[in-house]
Amino acid sequence: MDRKEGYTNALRDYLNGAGENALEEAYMLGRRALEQGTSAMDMAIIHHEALSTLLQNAGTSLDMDQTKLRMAQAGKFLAECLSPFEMAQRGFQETIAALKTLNEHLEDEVRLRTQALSESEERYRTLIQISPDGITVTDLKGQITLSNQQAALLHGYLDPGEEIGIDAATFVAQEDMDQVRSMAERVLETGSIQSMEYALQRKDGSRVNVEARVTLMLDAGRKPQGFVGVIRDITQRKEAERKLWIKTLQQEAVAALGQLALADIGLAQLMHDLVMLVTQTLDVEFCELLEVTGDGEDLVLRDGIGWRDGSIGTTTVSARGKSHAGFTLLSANPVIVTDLAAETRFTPSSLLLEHHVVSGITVIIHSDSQPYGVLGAHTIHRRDFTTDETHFLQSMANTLAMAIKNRRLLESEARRRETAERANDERLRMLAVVNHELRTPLASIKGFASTLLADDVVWSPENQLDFIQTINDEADKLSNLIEQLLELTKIEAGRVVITPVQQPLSDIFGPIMAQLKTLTRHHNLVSDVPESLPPVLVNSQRSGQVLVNLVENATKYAPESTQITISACVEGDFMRISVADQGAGFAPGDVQKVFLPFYRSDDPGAPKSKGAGLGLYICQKLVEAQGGRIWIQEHEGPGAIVTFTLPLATPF
Amino acid sequence: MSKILVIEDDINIRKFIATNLAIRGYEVIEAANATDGLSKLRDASPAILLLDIKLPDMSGWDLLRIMASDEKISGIPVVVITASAGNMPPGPEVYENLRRVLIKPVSAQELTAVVKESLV
Repeated sequence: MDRKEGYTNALRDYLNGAGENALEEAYMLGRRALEQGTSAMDMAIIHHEALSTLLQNAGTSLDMDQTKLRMAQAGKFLAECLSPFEMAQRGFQETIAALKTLNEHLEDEVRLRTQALSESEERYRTLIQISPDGITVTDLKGQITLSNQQAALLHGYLDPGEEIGIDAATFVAQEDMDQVRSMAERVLETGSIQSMEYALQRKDGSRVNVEARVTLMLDAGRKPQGFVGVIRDITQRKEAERKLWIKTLQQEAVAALGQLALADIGLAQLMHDLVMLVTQTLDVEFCELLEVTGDGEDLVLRDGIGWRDGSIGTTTVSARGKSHAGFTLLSANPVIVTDLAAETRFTPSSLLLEHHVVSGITVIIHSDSQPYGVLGAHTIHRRDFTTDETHFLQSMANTLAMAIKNRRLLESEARRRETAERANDERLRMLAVVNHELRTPLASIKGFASTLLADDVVWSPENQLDFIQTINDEADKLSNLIEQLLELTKIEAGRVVITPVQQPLSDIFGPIMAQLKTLTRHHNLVSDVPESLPPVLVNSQRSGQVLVNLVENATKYAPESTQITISACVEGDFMRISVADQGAGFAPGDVQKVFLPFYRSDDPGAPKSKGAGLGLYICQKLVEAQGGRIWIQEHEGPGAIVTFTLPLATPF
Repeated sequence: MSKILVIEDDINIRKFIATNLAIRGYEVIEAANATDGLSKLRDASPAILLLDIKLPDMSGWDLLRIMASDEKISGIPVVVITASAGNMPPGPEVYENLRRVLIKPVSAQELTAVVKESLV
């Protein structure tokens, strides 16, 4: 089939644009084939087959018009070439018809092919246009040959047509240029798909963060023709990532503070760590930690960052809504300020104004019952603080509040323990004292009893009587002491129930008058108690016990026949009752100490103690249990005045 | 007969000690507090000191420390008679010549026996 092949090859060369020489070559070969006996019909079939093959191989070439033209040219040539033989053998009409059919067939073929290609191209064009990402096609030099609407908008154009021919590199920010170029080189070398993030620079110079996927555009022969880039705006993704990052930082700060709160560090150190963390995390210049003062009028700057030297510990702001922090206390909610100058809810504190603060947020540091104070973050730049940032600050404040509460609990626990230890020490001391006080009268009793029993000596009757008298006195002392100890033990164990009842003073004096008269039979008892006095809210038996004790003390220390005066008057919400005597009185250094159990004065001038040393101590316990107090009244002149108070039934 | 100094603030206990010792032939000097006791120690140079611990002006242990640092009286033997049973005495490390510590109450027989033995 040499003829056929030669003819086909020449035709192909011609169709591929080899020029008229190729057509001449095909003509030569065709003529030779006819001369050597190939029929015109066979020739036409060869011609048809060659063209069909060529058409199949034309592949994806878009230049169908050119091909069609060349095919028609080839058909016309064949007709001319065949005509002398055909006219001789089959007649002109028949040949023309055959050729016409052939041509039409070819033309149909070409038309279908063109249409298919056109449809396919349209499909791709549609896909490109509806893509949410920007798609840009460039040649190998980087000049844009095709762009969709998204790409044009990303580059700062309204119409994709406007950017055709522009170097795609002009849309890459300078600092990312090297990276983008080396990516393009990698794509060209490996034919792979590469992707990277870079800053896209628009026509107007503004920037947008994009992610690009780039690959090679190949022609039918799989030779690189250019690049296809898919560009996606990742501003939102970047913003989401940034927000997530900030949130992570905030969570880390809260966790760090939580750890510190659990650690064994002082509250002052914790507060300082807190303001540091807030300043760093919120990226502000100022942080304030304010504590409500005792009277609730002000907030004092307990710790902070950014404020001028000497502010911490001294600066105060109003807690009454006259400051950002004060308003926060009143509103009991976080307060966000975007522009302090435009603020109408409160008057800014001089602290904020002096430091030119513009924006800020404040939250309450809650405590058990009332707020501990306020935590704030401020900046000199105008800024819209977000809800997340407010939540973060509140979390920090809450962690601090918890730490404050824990430390207060620990402190009160330590105090409680200390009190318990002191009480225990006191009990042990009391036990030693009681032991000593019990053994002292016992020493006399045992001593004189054994003295009387001694068989190596003989005592005179006077001596014997004296010893027995002493034993008797000391036995009374011991008995009295044991009674008082029992009383004291009952009071301290809470076994003496002191139920206060509203009653006139006469209910206290009445039952003890006979006892008082007996006690003072060698003295002159004067009662200066007006009948008009208001009723008291007391336990009459216990109040009477106190009075008896005080009068008995007076009779022990005041010389016989001197005056012992009981007086009463109202003072404030209390009835004030005094027992005055004309004895030696108390030494100045003893007025506090005489209420201590078993107290014995060190003062050589003080009168010799005559009691067990528990009387005043018990009086104090009984008076305090009824809501009053007892003390040695200082006064001019000789004698002792012991005064105690009892609550009035209806306070004046 | 030997001179004995009794330092005791409780008048009845002091009387018990003094009476029992006097009838048995001792010369008894009395003091109701440490200050008076110290001066009588120095003046009278007693053969033995009977000492209470809980005294109004200072504790008996402090008085012993003063005695130990005073050569003139540091040789005088001492018998402590105290009601503070729980208060364990510092012992001879405070005062070399501390002979006995008696806890009240003390019988007349015990008292005279201890004094006798301490004077030997």
